[in-house]
Amino acid sequence: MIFKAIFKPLLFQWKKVVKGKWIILFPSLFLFLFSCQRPFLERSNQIATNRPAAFYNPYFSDADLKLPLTLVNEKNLRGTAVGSFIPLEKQFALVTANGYFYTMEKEDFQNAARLRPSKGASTAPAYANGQMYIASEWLKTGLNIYDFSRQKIVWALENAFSVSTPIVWQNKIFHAQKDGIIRCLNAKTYREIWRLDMQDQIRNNLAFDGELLFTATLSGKIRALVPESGSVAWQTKLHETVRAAPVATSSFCIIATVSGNLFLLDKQTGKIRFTKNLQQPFFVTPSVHTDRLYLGGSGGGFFVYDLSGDSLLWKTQLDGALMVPALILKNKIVVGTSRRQLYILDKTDGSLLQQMELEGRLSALPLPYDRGLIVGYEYKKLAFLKFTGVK
Amino acid sequence: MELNRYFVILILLLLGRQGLSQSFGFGRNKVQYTKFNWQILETEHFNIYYYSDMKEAAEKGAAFAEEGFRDLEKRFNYSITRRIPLILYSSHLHFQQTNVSPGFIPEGVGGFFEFMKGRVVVPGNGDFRRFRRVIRHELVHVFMHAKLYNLARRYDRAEPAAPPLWFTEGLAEFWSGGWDSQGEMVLKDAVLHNYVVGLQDIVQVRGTYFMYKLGQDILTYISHHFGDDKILLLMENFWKYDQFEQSFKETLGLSYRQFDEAYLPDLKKRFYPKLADEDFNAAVCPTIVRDGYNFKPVYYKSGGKEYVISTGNRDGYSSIYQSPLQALAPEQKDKRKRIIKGEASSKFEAFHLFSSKIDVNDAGILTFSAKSGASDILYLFDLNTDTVSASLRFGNIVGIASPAWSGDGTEIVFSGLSCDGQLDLYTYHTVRKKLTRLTDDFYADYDPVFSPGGKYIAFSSGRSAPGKKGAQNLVLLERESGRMFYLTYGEQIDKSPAFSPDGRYLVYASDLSGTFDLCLIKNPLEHSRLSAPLESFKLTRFVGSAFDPCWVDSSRLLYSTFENNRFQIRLLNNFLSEAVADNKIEMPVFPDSNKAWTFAGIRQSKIEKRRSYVSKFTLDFAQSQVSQDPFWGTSGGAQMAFTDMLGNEQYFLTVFNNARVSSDFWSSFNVAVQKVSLRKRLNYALGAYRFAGFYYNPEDFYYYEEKIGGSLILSYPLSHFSRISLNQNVYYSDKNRFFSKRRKAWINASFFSFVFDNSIWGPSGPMDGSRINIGFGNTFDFARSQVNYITGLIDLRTYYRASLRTAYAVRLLSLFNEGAESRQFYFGGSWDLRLYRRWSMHGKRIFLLSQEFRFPLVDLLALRFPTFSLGFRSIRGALFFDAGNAWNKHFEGLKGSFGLGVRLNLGNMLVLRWDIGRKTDFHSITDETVTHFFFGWDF
Repeated sequence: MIFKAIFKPLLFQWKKVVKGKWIILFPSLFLFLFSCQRPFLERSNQIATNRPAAFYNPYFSDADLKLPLTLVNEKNLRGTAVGSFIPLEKQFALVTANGYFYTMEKEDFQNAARLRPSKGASTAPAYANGQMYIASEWLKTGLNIYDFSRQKIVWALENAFSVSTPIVWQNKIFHAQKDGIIRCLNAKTYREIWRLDMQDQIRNNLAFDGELLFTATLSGKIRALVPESGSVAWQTKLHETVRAAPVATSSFCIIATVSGNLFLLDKQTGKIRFTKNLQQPFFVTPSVHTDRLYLGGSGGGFFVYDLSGDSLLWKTQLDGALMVPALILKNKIVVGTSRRQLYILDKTDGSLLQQMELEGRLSALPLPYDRGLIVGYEYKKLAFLKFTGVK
Repeated sequence: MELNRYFVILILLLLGRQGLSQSFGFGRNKVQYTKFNWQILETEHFNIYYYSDMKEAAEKGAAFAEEGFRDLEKRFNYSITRRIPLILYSSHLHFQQTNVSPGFIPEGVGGFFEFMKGRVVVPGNGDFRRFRRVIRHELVHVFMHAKLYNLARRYDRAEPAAPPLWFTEGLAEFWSGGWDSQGEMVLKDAVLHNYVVGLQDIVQVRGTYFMYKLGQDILTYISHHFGDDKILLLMENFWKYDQFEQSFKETLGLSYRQFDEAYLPDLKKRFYPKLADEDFNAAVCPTIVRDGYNFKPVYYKSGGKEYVISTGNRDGYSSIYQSPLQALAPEQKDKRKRIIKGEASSKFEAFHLFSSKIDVNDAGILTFSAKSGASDILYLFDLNTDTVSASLRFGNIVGIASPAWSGDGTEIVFSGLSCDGQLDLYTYHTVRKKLTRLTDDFYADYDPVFSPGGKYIAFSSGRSAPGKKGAQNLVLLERESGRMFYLTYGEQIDKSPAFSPDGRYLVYASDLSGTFDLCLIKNPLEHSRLSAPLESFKLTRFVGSAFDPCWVDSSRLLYSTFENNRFQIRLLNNFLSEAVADNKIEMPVFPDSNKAWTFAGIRQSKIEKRRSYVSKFTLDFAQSQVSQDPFWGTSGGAQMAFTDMLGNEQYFLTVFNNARVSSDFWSSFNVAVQKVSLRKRLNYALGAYRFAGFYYNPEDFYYYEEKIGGSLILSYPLSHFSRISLNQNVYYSDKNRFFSKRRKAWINASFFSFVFDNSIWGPSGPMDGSRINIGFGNTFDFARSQVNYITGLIDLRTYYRASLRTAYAVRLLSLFNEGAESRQFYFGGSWDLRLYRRWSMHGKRIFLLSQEFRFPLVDLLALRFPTFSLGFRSIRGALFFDAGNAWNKHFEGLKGSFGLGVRLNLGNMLVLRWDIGRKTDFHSITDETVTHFFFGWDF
C-alpha cells in the first residue's frame, strides 16, 4: 500500500508524459546514449597499409618543402605530442606526453578521434598489421595494442613501463622496458617468446635492421640481439651514459653519448671503428640516411658525417639544443631546438634556408605533408606549416 | 564590532605588505638608506638590473650569468626561453635593502631566487669568485624550477611532488662549484661526532647549512657511484610521483633506507681513518669560551688580569663579550660579560660574526665594525670606561671588516668594501684622522694585520694565480714601496695571519689538509724575495677546524674552533714545539712575477641594450574568495597585486560584494585601490576606496554605511627599530542607522604613531627586547561636526630574559576614544584579558596589564605510528596574570585572571594556545576553572 501510495502518482504522471510521445521519446533516448560514447578511432580504407613498422624510418622522407613556410592551421590537443607522427594515408596518428592517442586528417586536422590508454608516454607508437602498438610510461600498462578494425585496445601488458617505440617484425613484437627487460611477444597470441634482462635502464628506442636488434642501456652497455632467440650476438661496454637511441646502418651501429662522444661500432662484431668527441652532450637520436649521419647536441652544435669515410662533411651552430631528431628530406633538413627555433637547412652544406620561432619547443618529429610540415610543440599544440606565398 | 569583516581582512592583507603594515602594529623596518640609480643591461638571456656605482661589477656579473647559462643549458638539457631578471647589488648592506623580497634578509643569505617573477637577486661582497659562484648557484634554481615546471605541464600534473630542500640546495651547490673546506668541516664534524643523518632522517636538519652541504655530498656520491646522468633523471622522473623518494627509487633502484645503508658507511670509511692522525681539540686544548656561538678572539690584559674579547651570539643578540682567560672545567659556567649588545639598537645593528675580526690595543681600545644605518661604522670602544670613543664612517666605504691595530696603537688597518664592489685595504690614522687606501684593484683582500714595527702588512688575498679558482694566499705588503711578496702559495685558502709580538713568527689558518688548521711561518719578515722558500709548519691536526689565531704570548695561542657542532674559543699551549721538520709544509716554488688574473666583463658585442630603469608593472597574484554565512548570506571578493620588477612600487586592487539580493549589488559593492611606494626611505601609500555594507556595533546596533574617500599613509623609519607614521583618511560617510536617524558626514581622520621594536622571538612569541606602540589621532566631521573624537593608544611590551629559554613578559595596554560618535573597543579573550569570553567586554576605554612567565614545557613530543611519525617540538608553557577592564564613562573596577598556558607552534605559521585558570575581581577568586583554546602568538 505504501508502495502504491508513493509510486502510483509517479507512474500516473509518467504515463501521461509518455503517452503518445514514445515515438519521440525513445529515439531521443537512443541518440542521447549514442552521443555519450567516447570518441572512437574509425577504421577506414585509408588505414589499409601493412607497411612493417620495423622498417619505417620517421627521420627520412623523400618529400620536399616549398619555402618559406608559414603557419596555416593550428589545433589544440589534450596533450603535447611526443615521438613522431605515424602517417596513415590521409590521416596520421600521434601520442601525447600525458597518454592520449590521436588520429586525424592530415589536411586540416579534422575528424580527430582520441583515446587515452595511459597517463604518460614519451615515444611514438608503432603501426603494423592494422594495429597500433603504443608504449606507455605511466599508470598500469606499459604496452597497449589498439586494433583499428575492432576499435579497441585488444591487449595490454601490465606494468612493463617503457619509453621505447615497440618494433613489430614477422609476427613478433619487441618491447623494451625502462627497467631493462626486453621482451619478444607473439604478435598474434601476445605470448612471450623470450625475454632478456639487460640489468640496466633503457631510456631510448631499440634499433633493428632486419637481422639484429640493437639496444643501448643508460650506462653504455650496447648489445646486439638475435631477434628470433634473444641471444646476445655481441656486447660492447662504453662506460658512458647513453640517452640517444642506437642507430643501425648497413655497416654500423651508431651511438652518441651524453659525454659528447660519437661511436661507430661494427654492426657484426661490436668493435669500435670510429670515435670522436664533439664537446657537447647528445640526448637526441642521430638521423641517418644513406651514408650520412645527422647529429645534434645539447650545445646547439649540429654535425653531418659521411659514414663511408668517417669524415665530417659540415657542421653548424644552432640556437639551442635539439629537441627531436633531425628530419631529413630530399634536399633539406628540418631541426627544432630548445629555444623554440625551427630551422630548415640545406642538406648539402647546412646553409640556412629558413628559421622561424614557434610558440613553444618542438616536441615531436615533424611530418612532411603537401610540401609543408605538420609540427607538434609545447604545450598541446599541433600546427601545419606551408608555403602560402605570403611572407 | 565592525561586521563587514571580510573586506577589513582583505584591506589588512592589502596593507600587510612591507613596512607599511608596520604602521599598524609592531615589527622592524627595512630602511631604504641608499638612493639607487637603477639601470638595465640586456644580454642574450638576462635583463641585469644594477645601479650606476657598480657598472663594472655588473658587467662581470653579466659575463658570469651568460657563462653559467650556457653550461647549465647542457647539464639540464633544457633551455629557458624567457629573459631572466638578474638583480645585482654591490654589497650585502645594499642587498638587505631590496624590496624584491618583503622579509628581512639575514647576513648569512648569499642570494635568492624568487618564484613569482622568476627574479634572481645576488649581492657582491668584493670577491668576484664568490660572486660568480652565487650567481651560478641561483641559476641552478632557475633552471631546475623551469625544467620541473615544464615536465609538470607536459605530463599534465597539476601538483607533482616538489623536490626536497636537500636536493634543490644540494644540486645548486654541486653544480655551481666544487667541494670546499667548509663542506668538509661540517660533514667531518657530523660523522665523527655521530650526528650525521642519511636521507631517511635528513628532515631533521632541514634548512641548516649542514643540510646544504650534506645534500651536495649526497649528489656527489650519486654522481660518482651511479653516474651524473642520474641526477638529471631524478628530476625527469619526478612528475609521476607524490613523493620524491619514489622518483629516487625509480632512478637509482634504491629506497632512501637502502641508499643510507651504502652511503653512511662510506662516510665513515672516509672520515674515521682521520682519527688516527687527528685529535679532538676539546681533548687537547682547554676551552676558554664555550656557550653559544663564539668567534674572533683577541687577547687583552688589564690590571694584571688576562681576558679574551670575542664576538658571539648566546641569546639571540650578536654581541661582543669579555671572558677571563682561564680554562673552563666541563661543568663550570661561562663567566663572561657582555660589553656591547648588538642587534638591539641602531648603533650596533649587526656584527659580521663570521667575517670580521676585532682587535684591542695596549691602551685597552677595542676596534670593531658594526652595521649602523646605511653602512658599516668603524668603532673605537674604550674598555676601561666602557664607552664608545669614536665612531667612524667613511664616505664611499660601505663595508668594513677585520680592523687591526698597529703596534703603537695609532693606526688601524682594515678591509673596506666600496660602493663599486671592490674589497681593498685601508689604513686609518687615529691621531692624524687620515684614511689611506693601500690597494685598489679587482682582488679581494682580507684580514690585514700590521707587522710589529708597522713596516709591513700581512693579509690574505686571492691575487695569486690559483686565486682564480678560489684560492687565497698570504701576502706581505711593504708599505713604503708598495711591493708585495707571497708568504704562502698554492690552491688552498690561507687566512687570518697573526704576527707574534716580536715578529719572528706568523701564525695563520689554512685548509691545505682539507679543513682549517693552524700553521706557522718562521721569520716571515726576512722574506724579501718573491721566490724564496719559507719555512712553514703545521701546528695542529684537529678533527675540528681551527681559525682566527691570536697570540697571547710565545707559548699560548687563542683560536676559535668548530667542533661538535659548536663554535668555541680554545687555547693552544706550547705550540712552537710543533714547528719541527715532521710538520713542515712543502710549499711550491713561488712564481717570479705576479701575473695578474682577472675575470673579464661581458663583451660589448654581447650587450643587446642598456637603458635606465623604468617601473613596469606585472601581476604578482590574483585571488578570490566566496563565503557563506548563515545569517549574512553569501559574499565574495577578489584581490590583485601588481608590482614592478624591483618591488619598489606596488598596486593593490580589491573588490568585494556582500549583496544578498541582486538589487543590492551596487549598494553593497566595495572597491579599493592603493598604491604603495617603498622606493625611498619615506614609504607612502595612496589609496581610494568605496566601502559599503551592513555593520553592527553596540552603540548604533545594525546600520548601513557607505564610505567613499581616500587615504594617505606615510611611514618614516627612524632606524631599523623605530618609525613614525601618519595615517590620514578623508571620506564621505553616509550612515543609515535602522533605529535612529541617518547621518551624513565628511570625515577627516588623522592618526600619528610611533613604533619601536627590537624584540627577538622564541617559538611562541617574543623573548627579549621591547616593543612600543604609541599613537594619537583625531577623527572629525569637517562639514557638520557630527563626528568628533580623539583616539589614543599606548601599548608597551617588555621582555626580560631570565635564562636562555625563559623570559618574563610584561604588557601595558591603554586605549581610549573620546568624543562624538567615538567607537568602542572590544576586549576579552586569549589575546588580551585571558579566560574571559572573547570580545565579551567593550568600551571606549581599555586598560590591560599582562604579566607572563614563559618557559619551555616539552622539548619534543613524538608519536610513531606503523606508517608515519608525528612530532611536535618546543611546546612552551606560560604562567600568566592579567588585569584590566573596558568601560565607557565609569570605571567598574579591575577584572583579572591567572593561570597556566600551553603554546604549540605549528610550522612557524600558527601557534595554538590553550589557557587554563581562574578569574578574579580582586575581591575573590571564582571557584570555576576556565579553559580557553585559541590561536595566536604570545604578546
